[in-house]
Parts: sequence; structure tokens; C-alpha cells
Amino acid sequence: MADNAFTTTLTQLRQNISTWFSRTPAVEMIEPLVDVPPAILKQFQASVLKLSVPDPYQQTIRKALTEAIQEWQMNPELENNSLVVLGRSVEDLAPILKASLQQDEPGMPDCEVRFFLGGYQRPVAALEIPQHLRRELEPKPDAPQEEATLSQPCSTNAAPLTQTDLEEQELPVVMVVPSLEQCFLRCIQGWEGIEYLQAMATQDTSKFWVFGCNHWAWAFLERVCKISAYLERTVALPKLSGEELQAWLEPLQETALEMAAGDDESRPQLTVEPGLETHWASLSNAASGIASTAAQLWLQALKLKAACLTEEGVLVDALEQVELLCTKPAHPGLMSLEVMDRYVLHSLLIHREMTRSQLALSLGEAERTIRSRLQVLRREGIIRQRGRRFTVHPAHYPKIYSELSNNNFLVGEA
Amino acid sequence: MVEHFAILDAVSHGWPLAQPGLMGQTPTIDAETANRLLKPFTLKVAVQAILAVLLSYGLLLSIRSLINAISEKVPRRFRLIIKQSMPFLKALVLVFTMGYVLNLFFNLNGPNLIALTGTIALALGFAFKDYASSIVAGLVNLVEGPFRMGDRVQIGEHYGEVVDYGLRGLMIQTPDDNAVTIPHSSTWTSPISNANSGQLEAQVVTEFYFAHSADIGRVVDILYQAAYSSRYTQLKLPVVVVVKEEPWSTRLRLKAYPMDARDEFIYKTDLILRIKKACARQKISYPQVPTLPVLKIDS
Repeated sequence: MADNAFTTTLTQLRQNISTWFSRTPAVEMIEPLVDVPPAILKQFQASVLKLSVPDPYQQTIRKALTEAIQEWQMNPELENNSLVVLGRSVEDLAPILKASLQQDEPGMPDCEVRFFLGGYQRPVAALEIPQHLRRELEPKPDAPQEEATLSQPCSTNAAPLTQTDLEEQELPVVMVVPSLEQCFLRCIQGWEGIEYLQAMATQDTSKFWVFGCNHWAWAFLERVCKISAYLERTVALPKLSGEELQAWLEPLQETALEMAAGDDESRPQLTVEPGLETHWASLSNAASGIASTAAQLWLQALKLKAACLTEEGVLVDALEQVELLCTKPAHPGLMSLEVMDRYVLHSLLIHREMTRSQLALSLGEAERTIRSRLQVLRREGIIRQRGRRFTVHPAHYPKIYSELSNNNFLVGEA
Repeated sequence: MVEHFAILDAVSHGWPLAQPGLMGQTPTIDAETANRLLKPFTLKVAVQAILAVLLSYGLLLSIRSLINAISEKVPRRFRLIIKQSMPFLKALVLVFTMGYVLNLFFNLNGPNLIALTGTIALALGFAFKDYASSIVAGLVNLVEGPFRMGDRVQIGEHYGEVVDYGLRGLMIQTPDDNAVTIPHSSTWTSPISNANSGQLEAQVVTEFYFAHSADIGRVVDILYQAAYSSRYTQLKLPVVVVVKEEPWSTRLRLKAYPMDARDEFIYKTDLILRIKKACARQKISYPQVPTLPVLKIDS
């Protein structure tokens, strides 16, 4: 009797244990997600470069320019004849200004826009910058007389134009220098180019000047040569909201379709999951409203279901459609920075892009000393190299900003 | 010791010590006082006291190493804030340990506490005068704050960063990496020069000498630019150049702040190197030692 009871208990126990292990889960298991293959990301990266300038940027610049030109035209002798467009160090202001100051765009004031120093890069010998600027900006000896008169700012004989003179002119001339940070280097005698430009803009009141500059360079120049005393009117690029980012990045969703359609038919069709409103708000928050940072964070937040990839890391051909999922945008991890890394990053953020020799000159170090740190930073993806020039990766900007700010560096706007 | 307790107890109760009738009863009062003041001494109490002392010693060591480790890991902005909490935390541990250990051996009520305090003060006054003076000076410094942890101070002949704040003295680390312990008591009389007073930045003065014939306007410009372009410079703080004429040269003093007072000497080096390079490029002359005519003495 006792043996029977014992056997029954044992059997029940065995059944219970086997039930626990064979029980089907009540909740469906979450499918693991994996990173998008590098080949697909590369195509997305190329498409990011082709994206148009965000509308809020363009509208802000045009509005500020219209107001500034109107006020200057009303009182050319008293009003400042310049406008400085301030952006973040990870944004290239040259294409932004070029797109915003297209004369056929609605909202653009009637004026003649002349672009200078487009794609200008700081010379290796930074002390030659003033000569470069003179060569670019001052009239050529064989230029027509009228042109020479208009663009002879440093001549003390060139009297400022009166209201009558301005009325007689058909259109105000807007001179655009898209990147002030390329016109100086943080070293002894390194910002004589800026002093030349500010003297030029203030002395030649017959033209209106538009300068592009990043907040970090502006903060530095303000300390060292009180630049706002000469170029007093500034406008900062706005922070983009979630909705604005969604509208701006929409073409990238079409890119996915094009990528699938462009190749052979056997490949699955690629689509991007349309993110919820909260996703875009979260992206805007993580990117501090900076377009270039947002684009990189968005790309990094794209994931694939693990089942969509083969063991070799390519898309499974048998699938008809593959959807890229938008996960929560997050900043990439930042390695523990060494003291020299901080100086390198601070210098890069002031100048936006620099060669190794310029970095060495600016930091007062030998090139060989900083070479190893540049290599480490590049390997970690914190900085990027294009040709001989280094820039900070936009995805890391928010974390680097707080890192440098907490380490007592002079920083620009976030 | 027992006599002291008896006397103090008698005074605190307002008993006339000089009364002849009471003098004969003194031993009875002493025994009562001692019984009231002291708790029974057992092995358990002794073990508890030893454990408490060991624990507090361990805690003090941990606080020191933990705070030092954390403060060196966090961003510069928070380094001094964290370091400055060290003396207070150590004081807290010491006060709690002392209270706990005393409570193990003594009945700490109002009158007993007064008697005990008086006795300890007397004992310390005679036996550990200098030690007591240092402890009191340490407490006063903690409250008055002529310097804090992480400050760069000059006390007497010694200059360096305050790296530890103990019960008896403070430890400073000199630029040559020597650790110098200075008793708190010496801060009663020695002048204390504090370079940064709880801030991260401390002014660095770098001196240069140029020939009278040098273009001083140009040199001043170079000095300003050198300070503004140095990677160590705290750009949020002012840069000043002061010029003074000396009989044999023109002296220029460049006053600027590095972002971290610890970079004081490397900052000076950076400034000197870059200024010398710029001056060489501009061919700015340095003062020459005048050559005296050689006198020939005919024998």
C-alpha cells in the first residue's frame, strides 16, 4: 500500500517536472533584432548626403536675411551690414547657405548673391590665410572698374554709400563667406584672416555680408577678437522637432525601395517601418535637434529581424519583403577619453575639419604625438577622415559636447 | 583620575569641598561617582571597542581611497566637489566612533558628560598639548575653510596640492611629487597662500624679458595670442599682460588661467615654447648681458 502511494507520488512528480519543461510559452517570444548589413547602411549613408537642406533651416536663414537687408537698406550708415549664420560643428554650413540663398526660392529678398571661398580649405601654412583671403576677395587688377570699386573694402577713400546711392543701384550685393572656421587656426597669428574679414565687412558698407560659422568657433573668436562687436547680427539654425525630422528623412524611406528595385528581381523588397510620433520625438531629443546627428542616429537605430539574414550576414533571398525596423534612437557609446583626446576633439569642434599638421600646430604638439590618438579616435568611430581631413562624427556630438563641457572647456551651443 | 571625577562631580552638584565633615566621606563619593560614571568592563565590551576602532580605521581608509578614485574618474568639474567631501566624511566617522566607544565604557548622561569632558580636556592639555592643538586647528580650518581638498596652497616653504586632510595634519603633494605632511597647528601661525580657493583654475604668471630695443607692442600682441591659443587656457577667464621697465630689460608678465590648476607647470612650458618660437620668427631681441671693458692692469 505504502509502496503504491510512493510510486504514485513519484509518477506525479515526474509528470509535473516534464510538464514544466515542455510547457509552451504563454507569450510569444520577441524575435531578436540584428544590425543592418554594412552594404545597405552604406547606400543609406550615400542617400543622407543627397538629402535636401531641412526646410526650417532654409526658412530661418531667408527670414533673417530679409529682415537684416531691409534694416540695412533703411539705414546703411548705422545698421550693421552683415549677418552671421551659426550652426553646430557637425553641420556643413556651405551647402546649407547655398541652398537657402538661391535667388529663385520663395521668401528670398531681391539681391545679387555672390559666393566666396566655396569649398575653401585652410592652407597647410595657416599664417598664409590672410594672403589667401586677399587673393580671393579683393578685386583682380584686370577686373572691370565698377566691380573693383564695389569690392574695395579696405580702401579708406571708399566712402559709405548713401540712401540715394543705394536707390540708384539696381540690387543690393550680398557677399557670402560660408565658413569662417576655415579662415583661422588657433595658433599665434592664426586669426589674422578673421581680423581682415571683419575689417573688410565693416569698412565696405556698400555690400551686405553673410558669414557662416559654427557656435564653437564663434565662442572662441568672441573671446580672442571680440568678433560680435563687428559682426553683431547673428541667427542660429533652429533645433528640428520630431515632425520636422520625419519630413526631412522621408526620402530615405523611398531609398530603401529604390535599392531593392535597382538590383536583380530575386532580391527581397526593402521597406522601412514608419516610426511612431514618439520615435521621431525621441530622435529629436537624442540628436538635440541637429539634422546631421539625427540622420546618423536614425540609421544606427534601424534593425532587422535576425531571421532575415543568412549566416553570412546577407539578406535571405527567399523572402519577398524585408522590413527595416526603427528601434529607439540612442547615442553610441563613447570610450573613456584621455586628456589628449579631449584637446583634439575640442580643436576639431572649433575648426570643424582639420588636417593632422594643422591639429599639431594648433595644439602645440609634434605630429607624431597626436598621430596615435587620432588613430584610436578614428578606430572608435568618434572622428571621421575624408582625405587628409578629420571631422567629428555627428552621432557622437551630443556626448562629446557634455564630456567637454563637464571638463571645463569653452563650448559652443549644444 | 578618580580624584578628578570626584572633584568635578562635587563641583557640579554644588558640594562644599572644603567642609571638614565631607572630606572624610570622599572615598565613598569617589566609589559612587566611579560606579555612576563607568560601565562594567567585560571582555565583550573590549571586543566591541576594538572592532569599532578597526571598523572606523577601515572606513577612513576606504573613504580616502574611494573618494580619490572617484574624483579622478569623474569629469574635472566634479573633481573638487567630491574631494572636498572627504574631511567631512572622515570627521563624521571619527565622531561616531568616539561616541560609540565612549558609550561602551561610560554612562553618558548630562552631568557625567560634563565631568568627562573636563577630565579629557585636562588630560589632553597636559599630555597631548600639540596633538590637541592640531586637532582643534584642523576643526577650525574645516569650518573657516582657508583651503580645501584639491586646492593648491603655499604653507610656509611648502607649495602643492592638498591631497589628504587628517585628524592631525594635512598632506600636500609638491610639483616634484613629494608628499609633505603639515600639522594643522602650524596653520595657526604660518601664512596660507591659496592659489585656487576651491576653483579648478588658478592664475599662472609667466615672466619674459626683452631688450629695450624690441617692439614691445608687437611682443604684447604675441603674448596675448599665445595665451588665447594655448590648448590649456581657460578662455572664460581674462588674460592680462603687464609691462615693467627694468634697468637692463623690459619685463613682461603674462597672467592667464589654465583650465585645470594642475596643468600650471606644463601650461607655463607651453606658453614659453610657443612665445619663443613666435619671437624668433619675428626677430624680436632678448636682453644682452653688457660686456664690460677689460681692464689691463700693468704690474
